[in-house]
Amino acid sequence: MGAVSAVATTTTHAPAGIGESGLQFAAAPQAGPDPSGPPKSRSRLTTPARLWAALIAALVAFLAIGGTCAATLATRQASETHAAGSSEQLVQNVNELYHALAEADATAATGLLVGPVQPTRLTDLYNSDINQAVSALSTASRELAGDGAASKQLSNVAGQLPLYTAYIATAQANNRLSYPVAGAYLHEASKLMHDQILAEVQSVADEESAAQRSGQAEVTGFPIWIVVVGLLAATVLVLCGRELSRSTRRRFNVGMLWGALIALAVVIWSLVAVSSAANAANRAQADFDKVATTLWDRDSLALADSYQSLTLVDRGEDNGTDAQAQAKALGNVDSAELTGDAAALYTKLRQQMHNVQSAVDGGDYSHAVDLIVGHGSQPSPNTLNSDAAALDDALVKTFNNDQASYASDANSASSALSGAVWGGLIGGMLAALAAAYGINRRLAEYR
Amino acid sequence: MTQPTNTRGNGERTMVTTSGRPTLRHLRSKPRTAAFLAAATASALALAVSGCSAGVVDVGAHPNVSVPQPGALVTGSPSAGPTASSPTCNTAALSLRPTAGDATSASVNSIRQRGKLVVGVAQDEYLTGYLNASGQETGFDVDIAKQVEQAIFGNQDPSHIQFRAVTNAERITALQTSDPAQAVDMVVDTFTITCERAQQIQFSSVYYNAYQKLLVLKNSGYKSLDDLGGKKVCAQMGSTSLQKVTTYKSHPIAYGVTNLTDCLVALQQGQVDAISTDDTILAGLAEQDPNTVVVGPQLEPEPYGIAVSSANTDLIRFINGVLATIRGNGTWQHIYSTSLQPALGPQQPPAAQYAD
Repeated sequence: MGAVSAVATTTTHAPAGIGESGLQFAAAPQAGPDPSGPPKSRSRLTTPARLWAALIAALVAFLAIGGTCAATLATRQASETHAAGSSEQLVQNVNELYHALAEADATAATGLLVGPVQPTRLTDLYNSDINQAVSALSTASRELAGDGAASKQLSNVAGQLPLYTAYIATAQANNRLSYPVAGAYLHEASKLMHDQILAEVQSVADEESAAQRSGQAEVTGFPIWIVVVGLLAATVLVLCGRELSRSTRRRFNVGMLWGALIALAVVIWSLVAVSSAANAANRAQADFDKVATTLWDRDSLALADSYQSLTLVDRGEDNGTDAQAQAKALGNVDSAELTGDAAALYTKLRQQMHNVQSAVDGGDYSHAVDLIVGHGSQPSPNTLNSDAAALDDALVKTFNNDQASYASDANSASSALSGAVWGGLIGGMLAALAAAYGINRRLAEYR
Repeated sequence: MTQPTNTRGNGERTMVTTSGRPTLRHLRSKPRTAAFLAAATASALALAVSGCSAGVVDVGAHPNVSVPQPGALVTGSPSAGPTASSPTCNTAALSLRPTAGDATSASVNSIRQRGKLVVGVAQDEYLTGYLNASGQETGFDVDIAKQVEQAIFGNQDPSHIQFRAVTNAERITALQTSDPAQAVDMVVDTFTITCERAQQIQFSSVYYNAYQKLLVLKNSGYKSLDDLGGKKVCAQMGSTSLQKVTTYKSHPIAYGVTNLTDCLVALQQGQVDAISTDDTILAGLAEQDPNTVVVGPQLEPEPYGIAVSSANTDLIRFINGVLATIRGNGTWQHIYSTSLQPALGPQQPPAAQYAD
């Protein structure tokens, strides 16, 4: 909440500044000169009063420019920090939750296929997946505590996960005795996982992804308020300048001129900062797209893997729905984006899955099990299982690289803005001081 | 209220989110414009409200938990059930008598030359056809099939027999197809002989008479469907068993599942009171849970036969010869006693009858 309240404080300046300058703009012509009849209209106000009015109008205009620039930059910086920080981490956490759950399901099914004695490495992997899922779930729940709907979804997941693990445990106990009802328990657990738990997690993941995207979009938008307030302030300042030159019979007021120069510098500095932050944010968004794609690829592959094993547990009793769901999950992998090892492993994995499907179509489940996991307690090389693990490792590497680029680009977007925030505030005040000094010199002539 | 939403990653996936989301999330990521002050206030309020509702649980509450349901209640009479045997044919006497030259007939010779008998079996029916933990086919039906293998090749050897898993629906198509990846020489898979099926394929003589019975918990006291009025009885969707449950005079509540093993899950989870299907299948379920028992009177028989394609008349005569041998020499009795007898009690092989 620190970031949000900081934003609230700085942003509230913007509307207030706009309002006041607008008011001043409307008031200025009344207080200022009337070209058509100078002597009559001027006669209502004394020269010092007109000078005071110009002084106040100029102060408000300069402070409005400085304030708007600072508020715009601070808002964008807060958006960027939020997108790069909590939103991106949430996307990462929720995707990791999805992946850990899908992998746990795949591992549980594979463990049943191997035989009555599940190899220790599969037991360890399953336990570690559940542990990772619970850890990601509790972190995500904490981060989403203020979001009622997402909290409800994650709370549903938290409620269903113990049921899932209980069904898997029952399946494992029956499998230990070689009872086929193990497959029925596993099937029920998988149904719960796929149809309810993963569906909830996916929905939260999609929403967090959109929130991250929208946060990044804030940083790349056109800085409309700087332009609007800048133009309004410039109009007010031009009117003030004309009034001053008439009242004081000097072409320029030196203080006002300095103020205007400082204000111009502030606006230019802010626009440059906004534009360079937008460039960095666009790069960050491209990095994030890669990160999201990689995370989603991992999720989809784990899901395909889990349906693959389920196909062999169901042994045709699913009427082909397992294979369809598997093909759909596999189709969600963005294969065009895969590079290097990952691309080669993906091609190999697809071929392996095709071979397994051929064995299943021919009713040769024993051979299909061999293709997936081999028989025995040691991990067999060149099984679908080992290739899927290698592909996942390759994708994690890709993720780490893209994630580092994202963090760096998001950081440069944020730091491009940070200096200019103070520049806006201080510049606005300096310009106001210069104008006050300049006009006060003229006022002094009447004391 | 559902809104088509976000694409993710490269936009391949389109998802539907839940409806009526509070605006907090969107405001959180759009902290600009004059609305922000209102947003900040709103979010503070929302936090305060959600903190109150989500932060405290009701002391002593026992919330209902929706547990996974392996099946669903079936109301009315299921229309998709297979029709019962037509009274116009005698299912026990549809097959052809074995003759002397069957062992050297063209069909049997072609299997011998190929070096492999391809058999369609179940891989998920405990005690009848099941792929065991070591990856080997086991069960009553599988042992019967191995007797045919032995008669063709002289011995039982895994290299001489290939088991291909067929689902109930595939039992007929696997015999009719010409696709070598799907085709089988014969099907031994708790396959009930009906007049309707006999028009599409050929059956052997009856090698086992199954009966629809009940599986209940040992201490339940239930003895037949008569005791189960208003109670939930699990059966396979679209089966004659389910039809019998829905139309039975005591009005049990039918609970349908896709896979019969799911019935055992439902029984163990307390979601149903009994399971009704062929006693062979029930024996397999009973074997997996020592707290259950097969009960009930023998209703209409479900005669099991080995099926081959309708063109293979010399193969079916050969198979009938094999069945005649194992009925006589005690092999049938041996196979039965090691698989089904513990749950179903002692039985004699059904006597052979032939059409010719």
